[in-house]
Amino acid sequence: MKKCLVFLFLLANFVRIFAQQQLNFQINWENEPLILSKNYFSNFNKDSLKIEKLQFYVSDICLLKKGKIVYKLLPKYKLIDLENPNSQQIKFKTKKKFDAVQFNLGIDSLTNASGAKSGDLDPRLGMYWAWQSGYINLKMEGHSPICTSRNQFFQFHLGGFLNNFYAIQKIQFTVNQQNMNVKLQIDKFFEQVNLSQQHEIMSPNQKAVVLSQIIANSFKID
Amino acid sequence: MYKTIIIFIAVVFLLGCVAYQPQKLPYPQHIPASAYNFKENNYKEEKINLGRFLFYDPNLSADGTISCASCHSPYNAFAHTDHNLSHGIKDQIGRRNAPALFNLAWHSSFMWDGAIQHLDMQALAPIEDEREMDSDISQVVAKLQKSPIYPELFRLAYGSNEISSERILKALAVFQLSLTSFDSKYDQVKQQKAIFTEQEEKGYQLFLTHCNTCHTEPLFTNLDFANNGLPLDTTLRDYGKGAITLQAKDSFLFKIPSLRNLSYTYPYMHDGRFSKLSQVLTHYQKGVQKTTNLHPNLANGLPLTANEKVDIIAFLLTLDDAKFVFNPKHQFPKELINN
Ligand code: HEC
Ligand code: HEC
Repeated sequence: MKKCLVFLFLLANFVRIFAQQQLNFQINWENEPLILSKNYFSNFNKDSLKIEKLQFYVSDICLLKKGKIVYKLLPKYKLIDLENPNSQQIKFKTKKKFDAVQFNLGIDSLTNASGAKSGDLDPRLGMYWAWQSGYINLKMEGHSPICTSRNQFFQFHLGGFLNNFYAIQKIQFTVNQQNMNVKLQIDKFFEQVNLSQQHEIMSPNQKAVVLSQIIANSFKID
Repeated sequence: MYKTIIIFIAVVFLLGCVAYQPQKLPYPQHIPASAYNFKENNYKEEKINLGRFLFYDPNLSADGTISCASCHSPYNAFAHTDHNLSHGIKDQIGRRNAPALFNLAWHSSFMWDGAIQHLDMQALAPIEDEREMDSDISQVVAKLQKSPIYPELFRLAYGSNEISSERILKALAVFQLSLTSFDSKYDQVKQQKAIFTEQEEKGYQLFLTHCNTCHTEPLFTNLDFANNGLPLDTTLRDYGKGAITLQAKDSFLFKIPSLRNLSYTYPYMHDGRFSKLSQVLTHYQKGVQKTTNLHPNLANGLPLTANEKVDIIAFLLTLDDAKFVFNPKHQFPKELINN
């Protein structure tokens, strides 16, 4: 009888797993989950640093089969927040077979240039530049003794949707399983960015585009 | 018998259609179609009214002293006359002259430098600017939620009394969209309800020759950006659109303002450097500086005689719309006094 119950329990779980698929966004430092405000050491910068805020938009997440979109995940826009584990998972359900996942890091131009929005696009969330149009695609703030700025503060507000400084990054991975863990290896970013020279980006420009590419290249999946 | 019933039903149906027509931004026939997408923010009397309250409410600023109308006064066609550069919270001086607000439904980029691409999102700029209202939209939402009057105004506008940033921004936008100014003497001439004097007609022809490329009728702006040859004010070093796009080709470009209601909107230009129209015309005649990206039409200034300048000004005054400026529907809602 007991065995039977265990079996039923397992079966139920099995069914549930199959019914609900999940895409997770993890933020890591050297393969471990990044911890808010914890001191890490950057080999490249030869100094310690801590991250006190990390938020970014992913949008238009979709599943592909042989290069064709077979399924679009909802919501269309998702704000991933280091401080909010719930924001880091997206549940979905599809019977469609797929071999790749694709998403944008950031918010598309059309949405940037349109009217007031709610939900994850609510300007209350602090991811909108007030003095000019446009969403901030990624916001990362923290401290490092190597920064020459006031209070040794670094802040990267990366965005830009107009042609010349288009910061949105399209990211694609091949996948072979139902549940996907997309990982942002933030340590990789600090291996390429010299904090003593670059610690503040607050508007769309060429540097914001370059840093957005570095961020995009710091994603992996497993 | 059947015929009458059918006719009766048809009439009722038609009347119903007329009654259920969604409200629309009204404007006369000689005006081209507007640009704002009302599908995502419908035009509705109650929402305009809510927007009017918000526009005049100093609670949108951090210390409750500054409203949108502090810098955009109805009697100045929603510009600001006292100051060349705008005055914000705690008497701080801004960087630019507050532009007049009307016919915004035809615009698709905003601010003198085009930093903003959608009217809904414009209000965030003054609300969060530390020299203007120094607040933020979350604070505004929290304040309005505690107010005795707003929940009901939101219910009338949106069907429920939920107060959100999206609803605030959309109501402010719709109020501003309702500010249309198409009832000047010029408009009446276009509708054959009036005729120009001889001098106005002369001025009109000169205007078409010299000014209409940029200040294109009937909006009196082609909604584009240009360098009209103003010498750089070295205390401000304002490069306009170039500072936003960081492109050399945009340096010194400023939004071309409409020339409607000029009697009410002085001082003129992005930094309010001229207080009289005669100064503006003298600028075009002999003050144009050859800075980067100067518009080719102005390369040698405009060949205007003293008389021609006076004639052009006579025409420009036919663009004043007193009915718009003194329209009570656009003014301070008295219910705000006790809020
Ligand atoms: C402290 C003065 C001040 C306050 C308060 C203020 N504005 Fe403005 N407004 C300005 C100035 C100055 C500009 C031009 C800014 C620029 O070009 O950088 C402007 C520009 C605008 C524009 C763009 C117009 C165009 O043709 O491009 C709109 C719309 C506007 N304001 C609406 C508002 C609203 C709505 C509020 C209240 C939420 C408000 N303003 C509060 C000074 C102010
Ligand atoms: C090459 C395009 C161009 C031409 C031609 C032109 N303007 Fe302008 N005008 C502008 C621009 C751009 C501005 C705003 C400049 C600024 O503030 O930096 C402006 C501003 C003005 C203003 C100030 C309006 C305000 O609200 O501040 C007036 C008045 C004006 N022009 C009148 C005229 C007249 C009259 C003519 C013809 C004699 C004329 N303009 C020809 C581009 C032009």
